[in-house]
Amino acid sequence: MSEWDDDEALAARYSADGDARALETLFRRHLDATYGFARRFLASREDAEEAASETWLRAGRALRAGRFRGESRFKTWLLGIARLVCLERIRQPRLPTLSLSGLTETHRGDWVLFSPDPDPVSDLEAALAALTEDHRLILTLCDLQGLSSAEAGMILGRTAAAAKSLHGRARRALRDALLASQEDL
Amino acid sequence: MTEAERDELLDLYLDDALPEALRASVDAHLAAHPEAAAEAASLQAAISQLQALPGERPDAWFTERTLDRLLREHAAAQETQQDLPISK
Repeated sequence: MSEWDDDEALAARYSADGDARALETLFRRHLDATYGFARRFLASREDAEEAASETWLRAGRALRAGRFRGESRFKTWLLGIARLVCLERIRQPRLPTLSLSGLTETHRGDWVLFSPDPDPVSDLEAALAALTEDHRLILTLCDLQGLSSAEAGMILGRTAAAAKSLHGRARRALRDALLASQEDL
Repeated sequence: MTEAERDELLDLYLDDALPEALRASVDAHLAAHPEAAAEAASLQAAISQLQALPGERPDAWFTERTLDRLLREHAAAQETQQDLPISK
């Protein structure tokens, strides 16, 4: 495996030498994960984009300050920053804003029309949205982002055993929510 | 075996993380207990559905704009470092 395939080596290279290509490689490799993670917790695409952007700016500063010490995978460390950014945004008092999320854009001559997206929210999306934040978080980290329970535990400040147990409970809560939605049909 | 231990064993089974011998004994248990098999199947279905959820990707323009901001901050930090007086 070359150094360019290894996230932790790239992070160390950027911290030590300030090699912008290393930072750009990490960014292109993990922006989707950062954005996808934020999208599970924030109400709109715009919010998720701002959170993903803020996560990367903070990660860049932390790398330059030598604060990534290789104690976890780079992705685990990065999603830990993303979690803090998302929590800050969720807790921030917000002014009402107009969001174009969930709207479909149609061009008619000189006019641009916005109408609600035709696709209804799937049972799975609805079940995920109905879970507690802890359950949604651990399912996102483990089942969508591919982290182990132990890695998710590092992000959540829980032991590996506690994270594993939480993961099991979250999966059952999701299953129950899905079954309940099928019974409602 | 407590309920928590049973759940943990089933989770390991569904994640294909059990040693072969233990896996075979869980298979045998599920074959003999239809309720347990139904529980395992419903959980497996939820996990499969979740793991197949397509990831939502950011727009290309957002990616390039964010990278541009990141690299501009990087360049500014490099300049600041170069401007620092060399310490003895």
